[in-house]
Amino acid sequence: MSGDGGPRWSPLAVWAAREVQREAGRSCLLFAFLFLLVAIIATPMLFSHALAVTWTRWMEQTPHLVVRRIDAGGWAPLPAEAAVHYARKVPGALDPTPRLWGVATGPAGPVTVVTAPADLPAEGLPGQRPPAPGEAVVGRAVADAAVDNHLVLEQMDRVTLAIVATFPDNSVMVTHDLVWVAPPDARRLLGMLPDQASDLAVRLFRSESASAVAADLAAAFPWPVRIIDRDTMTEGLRRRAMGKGVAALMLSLPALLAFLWVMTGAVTGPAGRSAYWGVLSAMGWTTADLVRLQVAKALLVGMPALAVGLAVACGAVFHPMAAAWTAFLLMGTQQLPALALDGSGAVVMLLQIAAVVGLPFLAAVFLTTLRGVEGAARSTMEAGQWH
Amino acid sequence: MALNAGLACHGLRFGWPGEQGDDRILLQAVTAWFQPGRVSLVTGATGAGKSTLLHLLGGLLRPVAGEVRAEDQPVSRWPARHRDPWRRRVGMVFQHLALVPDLSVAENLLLPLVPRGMKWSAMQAAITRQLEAVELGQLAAKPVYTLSGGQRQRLAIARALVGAPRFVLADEPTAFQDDRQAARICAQMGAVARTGVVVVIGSHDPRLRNASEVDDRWHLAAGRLTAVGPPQAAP
Ligand SMILES: Nc1ncnc2c1ncn2[C@@H]1O[C@H](COP(=O)(O)OP(=O)(O)O)[C@@H](O)[C@H]1O
Ligand SMILES: [Mg+2]
Repeated sequence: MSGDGGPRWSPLAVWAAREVQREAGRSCLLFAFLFLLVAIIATPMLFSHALAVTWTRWMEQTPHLVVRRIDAGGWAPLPAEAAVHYARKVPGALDPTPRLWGVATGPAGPVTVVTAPADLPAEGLPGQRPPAPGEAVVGRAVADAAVDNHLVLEQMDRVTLAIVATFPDNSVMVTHDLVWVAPPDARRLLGMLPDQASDLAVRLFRSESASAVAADLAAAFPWPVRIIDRDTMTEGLRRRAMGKGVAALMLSLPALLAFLWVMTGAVTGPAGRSAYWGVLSAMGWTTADLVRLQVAKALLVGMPALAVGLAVACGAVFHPMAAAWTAFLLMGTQQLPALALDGSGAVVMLLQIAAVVGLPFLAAVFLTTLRGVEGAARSTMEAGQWH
Repeated sequence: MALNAGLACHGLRFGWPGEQGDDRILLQAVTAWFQPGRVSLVTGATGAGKSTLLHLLGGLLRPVAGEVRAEDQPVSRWPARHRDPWRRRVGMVFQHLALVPDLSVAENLLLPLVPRGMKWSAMQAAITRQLEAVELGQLAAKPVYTLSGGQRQRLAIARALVGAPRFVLADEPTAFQDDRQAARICAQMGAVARTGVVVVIGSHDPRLRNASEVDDRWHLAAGRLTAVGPPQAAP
């Protein structure tokens, strides 16, 4: 409809806005519970999605397969050059890389000692210079336990290191117990000779070939080896990422949606409106007009509620301070990676949430209105109040 | 004038639920023709069924038997999805007014116009014109609950007329009015009828019975509607 000079809004939309204001109490109630529901549903959805994205990024830096030499006493160091030589013979096994790392005892329990940037998450290393002998770059938990910026590690030998840097907080999920040292310090600490490595990392052309290549690799080495794939390696981290809170909220989604359905029906339904709807239909409003009116009102209240709920959820997941609390509530830990959400992922996510809450909401408005209007005109007439 | 114009009912039969026993049927076999361009008055004692008849004519109730034809369309047989939009051509003044008390006077007049897809300027013009016609122009912004009974009834008349209906069904439109307003309402109904509209008034108000604007008179009693001869023409 184009007004000539007047506002160009459809009269129905304007009337819907007037009714939202006229029913201020019910509108506020509807806004509040929709907003809460969106926030409650969106927070864990966003959270677990962001974790999954972060997770995938981290996984991409992890080798597909890792070969370890084993002997009667458990795992044994492997001769680096020979291991590379054998691995090269296996088709499909790319870039065999000896790695030097291990577990040592720190002041507050075991720490993971690594020596090469390739073993570290990318977000742990913005512009970080590799540590010189006698120096260490450490994770948050290790730094907190260190005294006077010095770290004493013990395993096969005892090594004292000066902490020169801490991994940034946003990498804390993967780096919190990590100690990055120079290779000579690691060898001394782990009791390894210059040509020895802890294991051999192998990349694959296609990750689906993991089990086939693993079998070939096992056969290619003259000593017994154990081969670990990416999933096994990252199992612990995955468990850390998928908190119980997320799962519980996901499980309660049907109950939340049922609640949404009932509440919407009660707040936007015919209760208290059927006489009014009867008047309107006596004046030529069709069922379709009334449904359109109710849906327009629902959109006027629901869209801002959705926006505010999503904004709150985004804040709860991505704002550093709030995120720590969210992580604590959802996963029982405040140690959390800086969550990442790629652009298209974010849009898909927001659309998903809008659909998960918005569609049942609109369907509830639509159906309760439809059902309510059917009876409204007749029952008001038969109530006899207009005779 | 074509015989099929206007509003007609044939063998209309209606009883309220719980009053279906034969002698409890309110309207037995009502047959009448209300012509466009004329003011028709339906009289009858209270409880005779005047309001019920108007609701049947306006498509708010369905007859048990018989039918209502509007411009030769069997509107009483139409399903709701056709009948509801047809009601936009009907202007109904309810005996109990059925205004929305918390809305303003002007908003009550806006209600029937909202779903019609009119321009705002056209709606504003129609509202202003009707409010002036019933002498409520000064009260446009007042909430309806602050109005007197007479003012409310005139607002109900304005609301029935604001959508330029083809059929005006007015139930006791002068009940709360003083003589001056009652006469003015008669004149207004006459003027509306002169534009080719069907006007049916249900009333037991003697001021209406003797009004010169009334063209056709009907009397409802014992479930039957009978045409009454014209009043003694002035000598
Ligand atoms: N909603 C209703 N339910 C049952 N009976 C009704 C209802 N409305 C009116 N009646 C009955 O129908 C009869 C006629 O009422 P009505 O049409 O209002 O008469 P009038 O307008 O001529 O005074 C009355 O006996 C009344 O009790
Ligand atoms: Mg009556």
